[in-house]
Amino acid sequence: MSAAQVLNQSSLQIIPNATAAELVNAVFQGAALHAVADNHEDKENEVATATLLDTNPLDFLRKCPRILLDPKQIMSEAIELEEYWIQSTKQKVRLVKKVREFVESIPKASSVVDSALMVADELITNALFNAPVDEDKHHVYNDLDRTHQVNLAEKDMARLYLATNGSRLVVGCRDPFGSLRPQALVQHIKKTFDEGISSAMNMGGGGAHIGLRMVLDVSMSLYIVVDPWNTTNVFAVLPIGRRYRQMDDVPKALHVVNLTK
Amino acid sequence: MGALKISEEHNGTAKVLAFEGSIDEDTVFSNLDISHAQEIVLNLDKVAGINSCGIREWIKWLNTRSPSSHIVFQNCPKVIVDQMNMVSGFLPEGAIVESFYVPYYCEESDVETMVPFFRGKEFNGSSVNAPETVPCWKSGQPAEMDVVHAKYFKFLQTQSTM
Repeated sequence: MSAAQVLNQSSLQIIPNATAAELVNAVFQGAALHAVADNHEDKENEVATATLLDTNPLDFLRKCPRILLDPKQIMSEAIELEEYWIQSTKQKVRLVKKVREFVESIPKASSVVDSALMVADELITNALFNAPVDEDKHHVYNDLDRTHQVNLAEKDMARLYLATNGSRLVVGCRDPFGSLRPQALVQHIKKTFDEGISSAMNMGGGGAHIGLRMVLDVSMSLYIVVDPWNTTNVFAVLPIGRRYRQMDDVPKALHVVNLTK
Repeated sequence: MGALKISEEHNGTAKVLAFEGSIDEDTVFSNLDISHAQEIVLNLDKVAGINSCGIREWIKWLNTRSPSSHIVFQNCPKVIVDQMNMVSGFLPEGAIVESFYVPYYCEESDVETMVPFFRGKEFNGSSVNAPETVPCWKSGQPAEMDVVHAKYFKFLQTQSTM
Protein backbone atom coordinates (compact mmCIF):
# COMPACT_ATOMS: atom_id res chain seq x y z
CA MET A 1 0.00 0.00 0.00
CA SER A 2 2.94 2.31 0.52
CA ALA A 3 3.32 2.58 -3.21
CA ALA A 4 -0.22 3.78 -3.62
CA GLN A 5 -0.49 6.90 -5.66
CA VAL A 6 -3.21 9.28 -4.62
CA LEU A 7 -4.62 11.16 -7.55
CA ASN A 8 -6.52 14.41 -7.42
CA GLN A 9 -9.18 13.25 -5.04
CA SER A 10 -8.58 11.41 -1.81
CA SER A 11 -11.38 9.01 -2.70
CA LEU A 12 -9.42 7.47 -5.57
CA GLN A 13 -6.32 5.35 -5.32
CA ILE A 14 -4.41 4.04 -8.27
CA ILE A 15 -2.36 1.17 -6.89
CA PRO A 16 0.57 -0.32 -8.83
CA ASN A 17 -0.05 -3.93 -9.84
CA ALA A 18 -2.73 -4.22 -7.19
CA THR A 19 -4.21 -7.59 -6.43
CA ALA A 20 -7.90 -7.93 -5.63
CA ALA A 21 -7.01 -8.32 -1.96
CA GLU A 22 -5.03 -5.07 -2.02
CA LEU A 23 -7.93 -3.21 -3.60
CA VAL A 24 -10.30 -4.55 -0.97
CA ASN A 25 -7.83 -3.58 1.73
CA ALA A 26 -7.56 -0.03 0.40
CA VAL A 27 -11.31 0.38 0.53
CA PHE A 28 -11.60 -1.34 3.89
CA GLN A 29 -9.02 0.95 5.49
CA GLY A 30 -10.97 3.93 4.27
CA ALA A 31 -8.07 4.98 2.12
CA ALA A 32 -10.29 5.01 -0.94
CA LEU A 33 -13.80 4.66 -2.23
CA HIS A 34 -12.37 3.79 -5.59
CA ALA A 35 -9.35 1.51 -5.76
CA VAL A 36 -7.98 0.87 -9.23
CA ALA A 37 -5.02 -1.23 -10.31
CA ASP A 38 -2.66 1.03 -12.24
CA ASN A 39 -2.44 -1.54 -15.03
CA HIS A 40 -6.22 -1.73 -15.39
CA GLU A 41 -7.01 -1.75 -19.09
CA ASP A 42 -9.81 0.79 -18.74
CA LYS A 43 -8.03 2.99 -16.22
CA GLU A 44 -9.11 6.20 -17.90
CA ASN A 45 -12.74 5.11 -17.85
CA GLU A 46 -12.44 3.97 -14.26
CA VAL A 47 -11.16 7.39 -13.23
CA ALA A 48 -13.94 9.08 -15.20
CA THR A 49 -16.68 7.00 -13.61
CA ALA A 50 -15.13 7.45 -10.16
CA THR A 51 -15.08 11.20 -10.68
CA LEU A 52 -18.71 11.27 -11.75
CA LEU A 53 -19.65 9.07 -8.82
CA ASP A 54 -18.00 11.54 -6.48
CA THR A 55 -19.37 14.68 -8.07
CA ASN A 56 -22.81 13.63 -9.27
CA PRO A 57 -23.69 10.13 -8.10
CA LEU A 58 -27.33 10.33 -9.15
CA ASP A 59 -26.22 11.17 -12.68
CA PHE A 60 -23.89 8.18 -12.54
CA LEU A 61 -26.75 5.93 -11.45
CA ARG A 62 -29.00 7.29 -14.20
CA LYS A 63 -26.34 6.44 -16.75
CA CYS A 64 -25.69 2.91 -15.50
CA PRO A 65 -24.97 0.47 -17.01
CA ARG A 66 -24.07 2.29 -20.24
CA ILE A 67 -21.53 4.56 -18.59
CA LEU A 68 -19.55 1.55 -17.43
CA LEU A 69 -18.89 0.56 -21.03
CA ASP A 70 -17.86 3.96 -22.31
CA PRO A 71 -18.27 7.16 -20.27
CA LYS A 72 -17.78 9.26 -23.40
CA GLN A 73 -20.36 7.61 -25.60
CA ILE A 74 -23.07 6.34 -23.37
CA MET A 75 -25.71 6.49 -26.10
CA SER A 76 -23.61 4.56 -28.56
CA GLU A 77 -25.70 2.30 -30.76
CA ALA A 78 -22.97 -0.28 -30.40
CA ILE A 79 -24.17 -0.93 -26.87
CA GLU A 80 -26.68 -3.72 -26.48
CA LEU A 81 -28.77 -3.55 -23.37
CA GLU A 82 -31.39 -5.79 -21.81
CA GLU A 83 -33.24 -5.31 -18.54
CA TYR A 84 -35.46 -7.64 -16.53
CA TRP A 85 -37.53 -7.30 -13.40
CA ILE A 86 -36.67 -9.57 -10.51
CA GLN A 87 -39.76 -10.42 -8.53
CA SER A 88 -39.68 -14.02 -7.33
CA THR A 89 -37.44 -16.98 -6.71
CA LYS A 90 -39.50 -18.94 -9.23
CA GLN A 91 -38.23 -16.63 -11.97
CA LYS A 92 -34.59 -17.29 -11.29
CA VAL A 93 -34.11 -20.19 -13.69
CA ARG A 94 -35.79 -18.22 -16.48
CA LEU A 95 -33.73 -15.10 -15.78
CA VAL A 96 -30.47 -17.02 -15.73
CA LYS A 97 -31.49 -18.57 -19.03
CA LYS A 98 -31.98 -15.06 -20.45
CA VAL A 99 -28.48 -14.17 -19.26
CA ARG A 100 -27.08 -17.24 -20.99
CA GLU A 101 -28.85 -16.33 -24.25
CA PHE A 102 -27.57 -12.76 -24.04
CA VAL A 103 -23.96 -13.71 -23.37
CA GLU A 104 -23.90 -16.54 -25.91
CA SER A 105 -25.07 -14.11 -28.57
CA ILE A 106 -21.90 -12.02 -28.09
CA PRO A 107 -19.01 -13.10 -30.34
CA LYS A 108 -15.95 -14.46 -28.52
CA ALA A 109 -17.71 -14.40 -25.16
CA SER A 110 -17.63 -18.14 -24.50
CA SER A 111 -15.07 -17.79 -21.73
CA VAL A 112 -17.32 -15.52 -19.65
CA VAL A 113 -20.57 -17.45 -19.95
CA ASP A 114 -20.14 -19.41 -16.71
CA SER A 115 -18.92 -16.32 -14.87
CA ALA A 116 -21.81 -14.18 -16.10
CA LEU A 117 -24.33 -16.82 -15.03
CA MET A 118 -22.76 -17.01 -11.61
CA VAL A 119 -22.76 -13.21 -11.22
CA ALA A 120 -26.41 -12.98 -12.25
CA ASP A 121 -27.34 -15.84 -9.94
CA GLU A 122 -25.69 -14.18 -6.95
CA LEU A 123 -27.15 -10.73 -7.69
CA ILE A 124 -30.66 -12.12 -8.15
CA THR A 125 -30.40 -14.04 -4.89
CA ASN A 126 -29.15 -10.93 -3.07
CA ALA A 127 -32.03 -8.88 -4.49
CA LEU A 128 -34.62 -11.41 -3.37
CA PHE A 129 -33.27 -12.43 0.03
CA ASN A 130 -30.78 -9.87 1.32
CA ALA A 131 -32.14 -6.55 0.11
CA PRO A 132 -35.78 -6.43 1.27
CA VAL A 133 -36.46 -4.61 4.53
CA ASP A 134 -39.73 -3.76 6.24
CA GLU A 135 -40.93 -0.33 7.32
CA ASP A 136 -38.75 -0.56 10.41
CA LYS A 137 -35.72 -1.30 8.21
CA HIS A 138 -35.47 -4.87 9.42
CA HIS A 139 -34.39 -7.44 6.89
CA VAL A 140 -37.34 -9.69 6.17
CA TYR A 141 -35.83 -12.61 4.23
CA ASN A 142 -32.14 -12.40 5.07
CA ASP A 143 -32.06 -15.32 7.48
CA LEU A 144 -34.34 -17.57 5.45
CA ASP A 145 -33.05 -20.75 3.94
CA ARG A 146 -32.44 -19.98 0.28
CA THR A 147 -34.82 -22.75 -0.76
CA HIS A 148 -37.77 -20.65 0.46
CA GLN A 149 -40.01 -19.10 -2.15
CA VAL A 150 -39.93 -15.31 -2.11
CA ASN A 151 -42.37 -13.12 -4.01
CA LEU A 152 -41.75 -9.40 -3.94
CA ALA A 153 -44.48 -6.77 -4.27
CA GLU A 154 -44.24 -4.76 -7.47
CA LYS A 155 -42.82 -1.76 -5.64
CA ASP A 156 -40.08 -3.96 -4.21
CA MET A 157 -38.92 -5.55 -7.46
CA ALA A 158 -35.27 -5.29 -8.41
CA ARG A 159 -33.91 -4.75 -11.90
CA LEU A 160 -31.36 -6.98 -13.61
CA TYR A 161 -29.18 -5.29 -16.24
CA LEU A 162 -27.15 -6.85 -19.04
CA ALA A 163 -25.10 -4.68 -21.35
CA THR A 164 -22.26 -5.12 -23.80
CA ASN A 165 -20.26 -3.18 -26.34
CA GLY A 166 -18.59 -6.30 -27.67
CA SER A 167 -15.46 -6.03 -25.57
CA ARG A 168 -17.00 -5.69 -22.10
CA LEU A 169 -20.01 -7.25 -20.47
CA VAL A 170 -21.90 -5.62 -17.62
CA VAL A 171 -24.10 -7.67 -15.33
CA GLY A 172 -25.79 -5.53 -12.73
CA CYS A 173 -28.66 -5.24 -10.35
CA ARG A 174 -30.52 -2.37 -8.69
CA ASP A 175 -32.90 -2.95 -5.82
CA PRO A 176 -35.24 -0.33 -4.32
CA PHE A 177 -34.18 -0.82 -0.69
CA GLY A 178 -30.66 0.53 -0.24
CA SER A 179 -30.20 -1.72 2.77
CA LEU A 180 -26.71 -2.99 1.99
CA ARG A 181 -24.07 -1.83 4.48
CA PRO A 182 -21.01 -1.30 2.30
CA GLN A 183 -18.43 -1.24 5.09
CA ALA A 184 -19.69 -4.52 6.56
CA LEU A 185 -19.65 -6.04 3.10
CA VAL A 186 -16.08 -4.94 2.41
CA GLN A 187 -15.03 -6.18 5.84
CA HIS A 188 -16.47 -9.58 5.00
CA ILE A 189 -14.85 -9.72 1.57
CA LYS A 190 -11.57 -8.83 3.27
CA LYS A 191 -12.12 -11.74 5.62
CA THR A 192 -12.42 -14.11 2.66
CA PHE A 193 -8.97 -12.98 1.56
CA ASP A 194 -7.42 -12.96 5.03
CA GLU A 195 -8.81 -16.25 6.31
CA GLY A 196 -9.88 -18.08 3.18
CA ILE A 197 -13.29 -18.50 1.62
CA SER A 198 -14.17 -21.59 3.65
CA SER A 199 -13.44 -19.90 6.96
CA ALA A 200 -15.43 -16.82 6.03
CA MET A 201 -18.39 -18.82 4.77
CA ASN A 202 -21.60 -18.77 6.76
CA MET A 203 -22.36 -22.44 7.39
CA GLY A 204 -25.68 -21.70 9.11
CA GLY A 205 -28.99 -20.39 7.78
CA GLY A 206 -29.35 -17.64 5.22
CA GLY A 207 -26.79 -16.96 2.53
CA ALA A 208 -23.25 -18.29 2.36
CA HIS A 209 -21.83 -14.74 2.46
CA ILE A 210 -19.23 -15.42 -0.21
CA GLY A 211 -21.25 -14.44 -3.28
CA LEU A 212 -19.79 -10.98 -3.83
CA ARG A 213 -16.26 -12.30 -3.30
CA MET A 214 -16.98 -14.74 -6.13
CA VAL A 215 -18.34 -11.87 -8.22
CA LEU A 216 -15.20 -9.80 -7.55
CA ASP A 217 -13.02 -12.73 -8.59
CA VAL A 218 -14.46 -12.85 -12.09
CA SER A 219 -14.88 -9.10 -12.62
CA MET A 220 -12.45 -6.55 -13.99
CA SER A 221 -14.46 -3.80 -12.30
CA LEU A 222 -17.00 -4.01 -9.54
CA TYR A 223 -19.24 -1.10 -8.54
CA ILE A 224 -21.18 -1.21 -5.29
CA VAL A 225 -23.15 1.99 -4.81
CA VAL A 226 -25.64 2.36 -1.99
CA ASP A 227 -28.10 5.18 -1.68
CA PRO A 228 -29.22 4.31 1.84
CA TRP A 229 -32.88 3.25 2.11
CA ASN A 230 -33.33 4.14 -1.52
CA THR A 231 -31.33 1.88 -3.85
CA THR A 232 -28.48 -0.62 -3.81
CA ASN A 233 -26.61 -0.89 -7.08
CA VAL A 234 -24.13 -3.65 -7.87
CA PHE A 235 -22.56 -3.73 -11.32
CA ALA A 236 -19.86 -6.13 -12.45
CA VAL A 237 -17.85 -5.54 -15.61
CA LEU A 238 -16.39 -8.64 -17.26
CA PRO A 239 -13.87 -8.69 -20.12
CA ILE A 240 -14.87 -10.32 -23.40
CA GLY A 241 -12.57 -11.93 -25.93
CA ARG A 242 -10.10 -13.33 -23.40
CA ARG A 243 -9.13 -16.88 -23.01
CA TYR A 244 -9.42 -18.52 -19.62
CA ARG A 245 -5.71 -18.19 -18.98
CA GLN A 246 -5.91 -14.44 -19.55
CA MET A 247 -8.78 -14.04 -17.11
CA ASP A 248 -6.91 -15.09 -13.99
CA ASP A 249 -4.77 -12.01 -13.68
CA VAL A 250 -6.99 -9.33 -15.16
CA PRO A 251 -6.19 -6.08 -13.29
CA LYS A 252 -9.20 -4.96 -11.34
CA ALA A 253 -11.01 -1.94 -9.96
CA LEU A 254 -13.29 -1.79 -6.97
CA HIS A 255 -15.68 1.07 -6.26
CA VAL A 256 -17.63 1.04 -3.03
CA VAL A 257 -19.66 4.15 -2.42
CA ASN A 258 -22.16 4.99 0.27
CA LEU A 259 -23.97 8.13 -0.83
CA THR A 260 -24.44 9.44 2.69
CA LYS A 261 -20.71 9.97 3.01
CA MET B 1 -29.38 -22.13 -12.34
CA GLY B 2 -31.59 -25.18 -12.91
CA ALA B 3 -32.35 -28.25 -10.90
CA LEU B 4 -29.59 -30.73 -10.27
CA LYS B 5 -30.26 -34.39 -11.07
CA ILE B 6 -28.36 -36.95 -9.07
CA SER B 7 -28.36 -40.61 -9.99
CA GLU B 8 -27.11 -43.27 -7.65
CA GLU B 9 -25.61 -46.63 -8.51
CA HIS B 10 -23.60 -49.21 -6.67
CA ASN B 11 -20.44 -50.65 -8.11
CA GLY B 12 -19.27 -53.37 -5.77
CA THR B 13 -18.80 -51.64 -2.43
CA ALA B 14 -18.72 -48.20 -4.01
CA LYS B 15 -21.60 -45.77 -4.00
CA VAL B 16 -21.45 -44.02 -7.37
CA LEU B 17 -23.24 -40.67 -7.64
CA ALA B 18 -23.57 -38.88 -10.96
CA PHE B 19 -24.52 -35.20 -11.01
CA GLU B 20 -26.20 -33.33 -13.84
CA GLY B 21 -27.08 -29.62 -13.77
CA SER B 22 -26.18 -26.86 -11.36
CA ILE B 23 -25.35 -27.19 -7.70
CA ASP B 24 -27.19 -24.46 -5.84
CA GLU B 25 -29.50 -23.76 -2.91
CA ASP B 26 -32.14 -26.11 -4.32
CA THR B 27 -29.84 -29.10 -4.35
CA VAL B 28 -31.10 -31.55 -1.74
CA PHE B 29 -28.11 -33.42 -0.41
CA SER B 30 -29.95 -34.68 2.66
CA ASN B 31 -31.48 -37.47 0.55
CA LEU B 32 -28.00 -38.73 -0.27
CA ASP B 33 -26.82 -40.58 2.79
CA ILE B 34 -23.07 -41.08 2.57
CA SER B 35 -22.49 -41.51 6.30
CA HIS B 36 -21.99 -45.27 6.05
CA ALA B 37 -20.43 -45.55 2.61
CA GLN B 38 -16.85 -46.76 2.62
CA GLU B 39 -16.21 -45.81 -0.99
CA ILE B 40 -17.87 -42.84 -2.65
CA VAL B 41 -17.40 -42.05 -6.33
CA LEU B 42 -18.60 -38.64 -7.53
CA ASN B 43 -19.05 -38.35 -11.28
CA LEU B 44 -19.23 -34.61 -11.95
CA ASP B 45 -19.10 -34.77 -15.74
CA LYS B 46 -22.36 -32.93 -16.28
CA VAL B 47 -22.17 -30.29 -13.60
CA ALA B 48 -22.95 -27.02 -15.37
CA GLY B 49 -22.39 -24.54 -12.57
CA ILE B 50 -22.22 -23.91 -8.86
CA ASN B 51 -23.14 -20.88 -6.78
CA SER B 52 -22.19 -19.75 -3.28
CA CYS B 53 -24.99 -21.66 -1.57
CA GLY B 54 -24.11 -24.72 -3.63
CA ILE B 55 -20.50 -24.56 -2.45
CA ARG B 56 -21.64 -24.39 1.16
CA GLU B 57 -24.11 -27.28 0.81
CA TRP B 58 -21.47 -29.37 -0.96
CA ILE B 59 -18.95 -28.91 1.86
CA LYS B 60 -21.56 -29.60 4.55
CA TRP B 61 -22.67 -32.74 2.74
CA LEU B 62 -19.17 -34.12 2.29
CA ASN B 63 -18.55 -33.55 5.99
CA THR B 64 -21.30 -36.07 6.77
CA ARG B 65 -19.24 -38.95 5.38
CA SER B 66 -17.31 -41.31 7.58
CA PRO B 67 -13.74 -40.10 8.18
CA SER B 68 -12.52 -43.54 7.11
CA SER B 69 -14.35 -43.43 3.78
CA HIS B 70 -12.53 -43.34 0.48
CA ILE B 71 -13.74 -40.64 -1.91
CA VAL B 72 -13.07 -40.29 -5.62
CA PHE B 73 -13.82 -37.33 -7.92
CA GLN B 74 -14.32 -38.19 -11.59
CA ASN B 75 -14.66 -36.05 -14.72
CA CYS B 76 -14.45 -32.72 -12.94
CA PRO B 77 -15.42 -29.85 -15.26
CA LYS B 78 -13.70 -26.46 -15.07
CA VAL B 79 -16.36 -24.99 -12.76
CA ILE B 80 -15.54 -27.71 -10.22
CA VAL B 81 -11.76 -27.47 -10.67
CA ASP B 82 -12.03 -23.71 -10.01
CA GLN B 83 -13.71 -24.39 -6.67
CA MET B 84 -11.23 -27.11 -5.75
CA ASN B 85 -8.50 -24.52 -6.21
CA MET B 86 -10.28 -21.67 -4.43
CA VAL B 87 -12.22 -23.15 -1.55
CA SER B 88 -10.48 -25.34 0.98
CA GLY B 89 -12.63 -28.31 1.93
CA PHE B 90 -14.36 -28.40 -1.44
CA LEU B 91 -11.99 -31.23 -2.31
CA PRO B 92 -11.77 -33.05 1.02
CA GLU B 93 -8.44 -34.07 2.43
CA GLY B 94 -7.51 -37.52 1.16
CA ALA B 95 -9.92 -37.39 -1.78
CA ILE B 96 -8.59 -38.78 -5.04
CA VAL B 97 -9.17 -36.91 -8.28
CA GLU B 98 -9.33 -39.56 -10.96
CA SER B 99 -10.01 -37.26 -13.90
CA PHE B 100 -10.77 -33.65 -14.76
CA TYR B 101 -11.16 -31.44 -17.81
CA VAL B 102 -8.68 -28.91 -19.14
CA PRO B 103 -9.77 -26.25 -21.66
CA TYR B 104 -7.88 -25.93 -24.94
CA TYR B 105 -8.57 -23.07 -27.32
CA CYS B 106 -8.22 -22.84 -31.08
CA GLU B 107 -7.62 -19.29 -32.29
CA GLU B 108 -8.57 -20.08 -35.86
CA SER B 109 -11.99 -21.56 -35.20
CA ASP B 110 -12.66 -19.74 -31.90
CA VAL B 111 -13.63 -23.08 -30.43
CA GLU B 112 -12.94 -24.44 -26.98
CA THR B 113 -12.25 -28.11 -26.47
CA MET B 114 -12.43 -29.63 -23.01
CA VAL B 115 -9.79 -32.36 -22.85
CA PRO B 116 -10.05 -35.02 -20.14
CA PHE B 117 -6.93 -35.60 -18.05
CA PHE B 118 -6.65 -38.97 -16.34
CA ARG B 119 -4.70 -39.92 -13.23
CA GLY B 120 -1.71 -42.00 -14.20
CA LYS B 121 -1.79 -40.71 -17.76
CA GLU B 122 -1.84 -36.92 -18.09
CA PHE B 123 -1.13 -36.41 -14.40
CA ASN B 124 0.27 -38.34 -11.50
CA GLY B 125 0.30 -36.75 -8.09
CA SER B 126 1.17 -33.11 -8.68
CA SER B 127 3.05 -33.85 -11.86
CA VAL B 128 1.35 -32.97 -15.15
CA ASN B 129 2.51 -34.52 -18.38
CA ALA B 130 0.21 -33.20 -21.04
CA PRO B 131 0.54 -31.67 -24.49
CA GLU B 132 0.53 -27.87 -24.72
CA THR B 133 -1.57 -28.25 -27.86
CA VAL B 134 -4.11 -30.73 -29.20
CA PRO B 135 -5.72 -30.77 -32.66
CA CYS B 136 -8.85 -28.66 -32.75
CA TRP B 137 -11.85 -30.87 -33.43
CA LYS B 138 -13.21 -28.27 -35.84
CA SER B 139 -10.26 -26.80 -37.74
CA GLY B 140 -7.63 -29.46 -37.17
CA GLN B 141 -5.26 -26.62 -36.21
CA PRO B 142 -3.40 -26.72 -32.90
CA ALA B 143 -5.56 -25.74 -29.94
CA GLU B 144 -3.53 -24.36 -27.03
CA MET B 145 -3.92 -25.28 -23.41
CA ASP B 146 -5.95 -22.41 -22.02
CA VAL B 147 -5.04 -22.35 -18.36
CA VAL B 148 -2.35 -20.94 -16.12
CA HIS B 149 -0.56 -24.07 -14.94
CA ALA B 150 0.27 -22.83 -11.45
CA LYS B 151 -3.34 -21.91 -10.80
CA TYR B 152 -5.39 -24.54 -12.59
CA PHE B 153 -3.34 -27.51 -11.45
CA LYS B 154 -2.85 -26.19 -7.91
CA PHE B 155 -5.25 -28.73 -6.41
CA LEU B 156 -3.00 -31.53 -7.63
CA GLN B 157 -0.55 -30.64 -4.87
CA THR B 158 -2.86 -32.55 -2.52
CA GLN B 159 -2.86 -35.63 -4.72
CA SER B 160 -0.67 -38.63 -4.07
CA THR B 161 1.13 -40.50 -6.83
CA MET B 162 -0.15 -43.87 -8.03
